[in-house]
Amino acid sequence: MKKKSVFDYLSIIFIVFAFVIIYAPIILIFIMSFTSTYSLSEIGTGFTFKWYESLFTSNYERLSIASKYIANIDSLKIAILNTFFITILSTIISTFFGTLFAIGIHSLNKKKRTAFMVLNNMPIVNPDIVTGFLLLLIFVLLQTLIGLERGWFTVLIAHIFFSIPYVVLSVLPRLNQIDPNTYEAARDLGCTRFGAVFKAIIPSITTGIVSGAMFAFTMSIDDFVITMFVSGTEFYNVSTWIDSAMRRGFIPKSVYAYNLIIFLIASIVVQMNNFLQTNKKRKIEVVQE
Amino acid sequence: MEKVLVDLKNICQSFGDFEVLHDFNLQIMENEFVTLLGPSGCGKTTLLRMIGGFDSPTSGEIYFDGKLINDVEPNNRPINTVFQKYALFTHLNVFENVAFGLKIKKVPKNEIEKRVMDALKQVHLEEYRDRKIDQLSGGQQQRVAMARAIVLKPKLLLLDEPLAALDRKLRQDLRYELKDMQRSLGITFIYVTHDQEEALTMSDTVVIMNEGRILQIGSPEMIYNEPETRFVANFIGESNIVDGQMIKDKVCMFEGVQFPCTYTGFSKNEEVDIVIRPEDFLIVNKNESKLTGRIDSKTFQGALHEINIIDQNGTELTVHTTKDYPLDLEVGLTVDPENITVMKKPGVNIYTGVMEEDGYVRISDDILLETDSELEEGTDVVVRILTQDVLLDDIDESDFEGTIEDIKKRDMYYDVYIKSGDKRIISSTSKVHHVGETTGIWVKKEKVVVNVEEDLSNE
Repeated sequence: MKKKSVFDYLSIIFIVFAFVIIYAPIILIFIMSFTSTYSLSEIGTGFTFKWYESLFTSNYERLSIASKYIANIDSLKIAILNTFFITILSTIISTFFGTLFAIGIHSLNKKKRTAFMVLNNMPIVNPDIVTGFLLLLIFVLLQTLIGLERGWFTVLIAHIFFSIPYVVLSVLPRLNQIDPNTYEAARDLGCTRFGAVFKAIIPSITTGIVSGAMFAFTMSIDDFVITMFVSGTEFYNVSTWIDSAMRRGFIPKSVYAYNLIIFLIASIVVQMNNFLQTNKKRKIEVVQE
Repeated sequence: MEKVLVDLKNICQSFGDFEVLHDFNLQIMENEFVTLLGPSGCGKTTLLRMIGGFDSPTSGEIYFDGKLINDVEPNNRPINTVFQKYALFTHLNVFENVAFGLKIKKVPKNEIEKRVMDALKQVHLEEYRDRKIDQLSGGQQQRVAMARAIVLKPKLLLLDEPLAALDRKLRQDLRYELKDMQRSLGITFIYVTHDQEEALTMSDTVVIMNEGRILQIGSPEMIYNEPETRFVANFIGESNIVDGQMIKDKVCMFEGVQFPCTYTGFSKNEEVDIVIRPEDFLIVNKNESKLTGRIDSKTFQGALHEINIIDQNGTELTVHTTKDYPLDLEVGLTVDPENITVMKKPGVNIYTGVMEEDGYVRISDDILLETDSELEEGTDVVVRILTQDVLLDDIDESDFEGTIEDIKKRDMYYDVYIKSGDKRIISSTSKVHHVGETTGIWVKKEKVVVNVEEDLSNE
């Protein structure tokens, strides 16, 4: 057997270290979300599901949660609902428009396409802090001009704004893969202009649209910086809520429960996506053989 | 009796400065199998896209069945297309692909079922109705594309190199199937290809195109046996094209030997191009013919041997025979009179000149032309420019200018005689000019043919 060199050991140590760094906080949250104490630093005093239950019930007495936390948990639940409301709506809207933009950009000639891609990528490379500040300026302007108050509506607009470029980026490669005559073939078989887009092009790029939607969803659900700028004083999503709760000094452990649920859902989606992708690849390989 | 189905009148198409189609006129009869044949970039696909409704001409009219259809949307034309890479819908299976057009047209469900199955039967794919598109081979995908188009019973089917992506054997099989299908369906086919074999085997009429113009229209036999220009002769099959002369009616001369031929009506000793197909040369004993040569190389090609012969003047001739001959054998060559094709030479301007620096050649004090030639500076050269390559334009845009001295009308064009300084130049053009006019003259640099002076004595 070959003798292991010092580099082999180093590489093992390095991998272990990397995994610990990445997963230790998650394990910590996992443990904390099941412990019954209120303090964020105490571990291991009694196993409980109450932080999970608190997210889905309003009967806090049965869970024996201290009364000073109850208002906080209620406002957290509103923040969670806000988050999902904004995320789902902005995902749907930005996926719809992003897909149409991608189809439009794809049908341009090369020069114009490059120009539009630069415009599209600008918000992506822009730091969130710049985007957020610029949007804030615009909304302040709109407030003085037409009396638009900052709140859920401005947050929704901002989220749609920064999600669309990601949808365009995931749909375009798929459009490049499909037969260049797909649109014309549909026209040839009797479709109107819109018919050809909706009956032939969109169905053949569904994988790109789905991944674009997933992108938009993740971008929106964890956004903090931009929401912070444009949400005004009354409207919170989970990230901005945690920020303000930390300033006030109390964070109920329901936040851990929420984070863990989101983490689990995300891992399941990623795993499923991986599974579908490899399955599809295998199928294509079989056909090619 | 025969009805014109498609009538293209004065079609012009340019993309920016680039002219794709130049004053294009063509009539296509009902139930005809027409092939547009030409090298890539000759405008054939553009033409097909215009008939299909995907592009509109810069100017000109497209009539279908007697009606002007320039502004009719593709979905409202009774025309269907088989695209080059088929453009099948990968999210649908075979049956759904073929049914797509019928569903759009809101045909009742049971009729869709019947018509789709009929179409699939036509292309021998009934058993594949539930397959996914990516589970089919290239040939099968091509058939689905055919079925998808014919199920709508179009009056006209456009095919854009539908066999180009398939391997050779399959291509040959599908050729016969396509031809059979066209006959049994009674649909007019317009078929675009750059493969001359495909064009010759399937078509009723072949249209040979180059640089946006029609060079020749005719039956495959006519195109093959009587090419009208050098380009056609070269493009359709292999050809020996040699310089020759018409000594008198029915006698031509090439390689210094006189041969009887079938052509009349040329002027005495007119310089011509002579075309002889490799399979039309007969190899005989050395002393049985005045045209003799030595076998220089040969290749075995299965059904025949391709033999290259260097004749007494050093010209290389290609001969196809079924018999094998040894290398370096001295042989004679004969050819039957009806197998000699005589083509009028395009007009040519010939000048003597001197090479100057940076790829320019000087013909006179005023005339300096750019050329592709890489001959050394100071070399004495002979410059040849075909009259059809001499372009007349605004004076600012041109290489030099001259005054029009005379204009002679030919069949399809005018020969314009221009004097520039002490030189005369002839331009063949379809545009109308007037005697006495001053015009700019220019020639594309790749059309300026430059040879070293000694070469002239040989020709």
